[in-house]
Amino acid sequence: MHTLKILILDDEPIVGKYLQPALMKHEMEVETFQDPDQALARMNETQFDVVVTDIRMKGMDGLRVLEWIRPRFPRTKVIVITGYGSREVERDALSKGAFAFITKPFKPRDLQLVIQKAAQALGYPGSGSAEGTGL
Amino acid sequence: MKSWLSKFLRKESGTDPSQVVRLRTVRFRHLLRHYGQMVALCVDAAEKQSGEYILDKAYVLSLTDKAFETVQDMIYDLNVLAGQRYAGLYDSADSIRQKATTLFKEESAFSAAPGEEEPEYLLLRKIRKVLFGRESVARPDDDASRTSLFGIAESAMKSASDSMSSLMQPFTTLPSIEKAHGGAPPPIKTSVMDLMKGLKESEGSSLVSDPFSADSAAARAFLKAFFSSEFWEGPSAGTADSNSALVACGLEDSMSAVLFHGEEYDLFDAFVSGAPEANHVYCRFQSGERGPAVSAILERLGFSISGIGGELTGWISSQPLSEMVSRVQAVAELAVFLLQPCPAGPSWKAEDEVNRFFHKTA
Amino acid sequence: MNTTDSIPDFLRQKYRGLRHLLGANTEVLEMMADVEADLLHLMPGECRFRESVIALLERTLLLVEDLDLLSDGRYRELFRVQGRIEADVRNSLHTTERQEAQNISLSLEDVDVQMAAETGGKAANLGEVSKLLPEAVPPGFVITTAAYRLFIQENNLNDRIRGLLRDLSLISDPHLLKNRAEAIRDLIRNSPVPAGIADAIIEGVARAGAAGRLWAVRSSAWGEDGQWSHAGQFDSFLHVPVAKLPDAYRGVLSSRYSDRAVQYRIHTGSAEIDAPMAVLFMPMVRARSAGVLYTREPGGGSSEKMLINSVHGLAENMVQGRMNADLILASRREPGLILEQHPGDAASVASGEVSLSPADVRGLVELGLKTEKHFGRPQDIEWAIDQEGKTVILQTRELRLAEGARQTTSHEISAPLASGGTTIFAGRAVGEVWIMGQGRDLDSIPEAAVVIADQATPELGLVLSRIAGLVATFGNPAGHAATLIREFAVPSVFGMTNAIKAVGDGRLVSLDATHRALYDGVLWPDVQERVRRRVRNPVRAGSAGFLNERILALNLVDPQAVSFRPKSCRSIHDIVRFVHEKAVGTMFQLGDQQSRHFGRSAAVLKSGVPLNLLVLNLGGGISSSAREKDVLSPADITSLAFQALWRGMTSPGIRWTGRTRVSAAGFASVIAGALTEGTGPSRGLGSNNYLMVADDYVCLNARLAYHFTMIDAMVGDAAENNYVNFRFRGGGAGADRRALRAQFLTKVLLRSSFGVNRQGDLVTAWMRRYPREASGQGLALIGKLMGCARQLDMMLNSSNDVKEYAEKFLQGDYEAFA
Repeated sequence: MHTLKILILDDEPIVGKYLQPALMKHEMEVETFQDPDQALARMNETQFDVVVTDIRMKGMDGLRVLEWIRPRFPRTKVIVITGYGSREVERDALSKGAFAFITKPFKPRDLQLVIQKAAQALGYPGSGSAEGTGL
Repeated sequence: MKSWLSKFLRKESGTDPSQVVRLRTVRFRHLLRHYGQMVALCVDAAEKQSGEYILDKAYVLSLTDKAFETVQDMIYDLNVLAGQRYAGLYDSADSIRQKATTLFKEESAFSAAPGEEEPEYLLLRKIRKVLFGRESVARPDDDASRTSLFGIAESAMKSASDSMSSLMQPFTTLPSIEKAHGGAPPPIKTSVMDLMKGLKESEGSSLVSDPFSADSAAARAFLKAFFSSEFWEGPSAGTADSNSALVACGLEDSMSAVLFHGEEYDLFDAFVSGAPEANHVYCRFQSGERGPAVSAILERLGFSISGIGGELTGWISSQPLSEMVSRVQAVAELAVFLLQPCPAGPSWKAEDEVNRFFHKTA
Repeated sequence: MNTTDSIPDFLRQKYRGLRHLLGANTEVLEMMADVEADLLHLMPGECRFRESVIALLERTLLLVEDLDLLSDGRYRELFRVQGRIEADVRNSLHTTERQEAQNISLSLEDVDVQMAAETGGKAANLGEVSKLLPEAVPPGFVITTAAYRLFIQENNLNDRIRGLLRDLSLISDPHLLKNRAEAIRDLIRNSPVPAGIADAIIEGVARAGAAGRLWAVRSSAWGEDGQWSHAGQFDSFLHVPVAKLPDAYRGVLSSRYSDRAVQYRIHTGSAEIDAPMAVLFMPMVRARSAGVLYTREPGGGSSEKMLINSVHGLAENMVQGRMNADLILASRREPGLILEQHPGDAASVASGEVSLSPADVRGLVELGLKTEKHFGRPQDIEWAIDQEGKTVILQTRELRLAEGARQTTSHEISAPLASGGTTIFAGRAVGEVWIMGQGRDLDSIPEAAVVIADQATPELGLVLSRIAGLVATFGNPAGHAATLIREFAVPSVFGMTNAIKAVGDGRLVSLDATHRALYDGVLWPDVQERVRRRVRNPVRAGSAGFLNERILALNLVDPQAVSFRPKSCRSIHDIVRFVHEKAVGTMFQLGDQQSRHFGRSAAVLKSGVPLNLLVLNLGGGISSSAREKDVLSPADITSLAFQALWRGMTSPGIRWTGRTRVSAAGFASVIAGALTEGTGPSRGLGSNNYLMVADDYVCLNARLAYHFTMIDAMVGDAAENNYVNFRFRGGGAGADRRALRAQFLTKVLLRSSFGVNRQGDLVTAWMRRYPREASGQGLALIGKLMGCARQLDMMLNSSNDVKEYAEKFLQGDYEAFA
């Protein structure tokens, strides 16, 4: 079975801190970053299946990260974390090619379900699902 | 009351009063929806407190702003309805905002020692108390007694309901409809306004003689359940004194009604359509001693309940059409139920009353 | 808002009222944008649509009351006007209300032509035919429009689709449309098919007794085969194994939002008559030959002939315009009699024989006659003949014949550059040539061009609304492209083989599609003008729609006009516009009263920008040390919102003084010049220039000569509450130039996260709920726009200029505007 490679980018350390262990439980390979530039540098080294990025960060806007990824790694699914009730930003993210967005605050489980959907869209049925990892 | 209404009526004599009623019910409903939003924010914040979320400060800030914006809008609407008599509520809200601001300033000092609550959760807990902490509605007219934002919201609903009942009161002096359900006379004096008629200027008076000709399905459902309620029968039938009167109005998907009894009133407002997210039913009962029973009944019907003592309000929203129609019917039944004296006399038990209600309406 | 103690209670109340009103105004504009977007994907009869319209009506009523309170009842007539509009709209919604489909799935045999709302037009017509000719219709089933609603609802897609469709009616940026449409398609393709629908598909397959076969899955959108043909707008999937049917279903649903379909809907405004997607499932026919039958020869004038296009195998390639077909003209009177035949199919050309035998032709003609008789109209039938020789009907719809081409004689001024071919849509066109070729971006077609293409493919649908005429070397008169051309009424000729070699890009030509000839130069200048007008102000079929008229249309544009009064409001948009204008006006009068009351005139802002602005402090907008001053400097105004705007207005490169380098001076630029010299009070030139500020709020109302600018913005820490509103109108130049400037503004604003509404030269733009920095940037952008767009109407001569200057602006080259 394919092990999903996930990159999480959020300038608040708490997000990565909670998400990493939660997702690793589901046999995903997770790397977390707080600095957008470091994240982009890492993406140049290795290809990720899914990138989860916050929309508002110091230094670089999540939409910019999205715009950077799309032409370089068209296969990579980008999930954007947006703030509470920002409809316009959600629309911008979708029309710039984000796979989905998830609104803060969310449960790790919510994100895991969205990642699962992304995995299915990538053609890895069962990847990252709670059921699929019971092997 | 030197209200816009009286000015309007004076200047525009000959205007169908339903124009004013429509304006007022729309304003009231706007206020009511913001109240519903406060209820939703409260529920959402409690859910977020559960500890399962990745919580950030931005959420707490955003929640706070949204709550204040909502209540500001409510205060505005209330003042429109009530001729600017409640401008003091703006200051009450401001002073609560001060408290919230102070909390946010202190937030950096919150500790996050191992084993202790995360600072974000602690902040949310404290803010929730400021925003949604429930309190007594014992002195509704004393603005200074409002210590939480939700308290202000409830106070605004109370005052707005009073304004609506004052608006509807004059209609009780008009001749009642003669025939209600199945051609029988209505159990109490009743006036029904079809606001759609008022809107179409050519169609004459909006006061209708056949209550079931009103174009609002919600109003028809309410009236039918009200007139044909089983609770009119039984040992206490006919005791509804001549002090009671019902005024109802409707426009397509919406209906409002005020039931006057003695010095008090019950109030109902509903929007019932095929689009669940637009729907709601709101009710306000002077339930007197039977408060605990009414509270249990409404809770079983899925309403969010607030109010203390004899005055209870229920709110339910975002349910599909059929669910909503059944709630409209239920609150109409409940109104009749409460209009009748409790058959068990002073020794009644809440549980028995709840059973009696659901037994007959099932 | 922190109010200062110096403001008396009644003013506090008024300011509160104004702030509330302006917020409500933004809310209503948002609701209108939502309704406009909903018109593109929901039916007016649908509950969701209905409720968003009702909410808009009621919100507008409250807005009218807000103004009434603010202005002490000066515009009470508005109540009556709103009531009338509300009654009309409620009435209209009432009549469009219909029983929504309940069944998720229906067998074709249970479907008839009355059920189009549930099953889509294609399935409804086929179901009807199955009653007449049971043998000729394969045993298919349809997944209904109710299923579409269920799909959208269960996956919570309604709000997202609406959001992505917002503001798309102003397609100044085709990339925007493409990105948005693609995002919607992705949403649909990535959403699971609800179990109820997946089960219905499996059941349908079992009922048809065709579990082991391959299936065709096609759109059956209601309206598609009715009055508005959406030829080729929706995807079909062929040879689908049963396990993949749910995927194909989603694929068809997503094609409801293909670039072409979205563009088409916006162009025709046809969402008012469009409906959600029903999808038709039929077992594949193993076709020996297939094609299209027109029961009357289109454009032939003769009613005695049927036109048959036929290829070996399946008809898909032919219909897509990728392959030539055999063309047969058959007699209607004598079924089986072939009047003419032209081999076109590669196999036919090789063998010298067409893909149909005389017996086949006879069968088809008889079938055509029966179908035509049943429906009472000429039909356009897609058919196939299987290996056993059995003829089946895959779809049938009313044939839309071109309006009888008027037989005007064209003036043979010179010999044509090229001629011949088939008229697809009659008429004349004059314009610049643009050669369509491999890899050329359709977006770069200049407006009102005459496009010359090698192949007429359905992609042309994307540009048909903005071209003058079309000539194609190859193309099937029965194909999708031809159908679209007729829909868009673009004068076109197919099969004019020598055109592409005769001319090059940019040459001015005149096309007479009626007589199939292409001439050099401008033969009919009036035609050129007419075409330009059509392209610039497309007549949207939907704009005639009642809801558009009563809700979205803006008739009150000029606040100075005598007609700017309550009685003239004909739509919700008019009311909103009126309320906004009068609310702000009322506040300024109050400001004057306040000044008199305190015996102190409002402070004046002095700066390098030649706007003599009177400043009203609503609280916390001015530094405490400056509150008693009569003359303020920009630094005295501490309002964050004002500072953001001012930052933009005074950006490096923006010039508020000095003459422009525009040569086409004229009256208007003389006035503008006098203004920019900073001579005389601006207030004397028309109206007041007022600035209202609070700590997180700015409202600027300025009339500069003939320009009118209105900004009101809340920029604070709570993104929820933030908004930036901008209105711009007027200018001294002619209507055309003003419209060009409006196009420029629209382009720039849309690219900068604003929602935009443009009506003639009035541009209304808004940005809502962005965080402080982003909203501040939006305000700064508007500050820059004010400086740059000031005299832009003098500089813009064509839509190419619009593009060029918009690019310059977005790249920060403000010197170009100085």
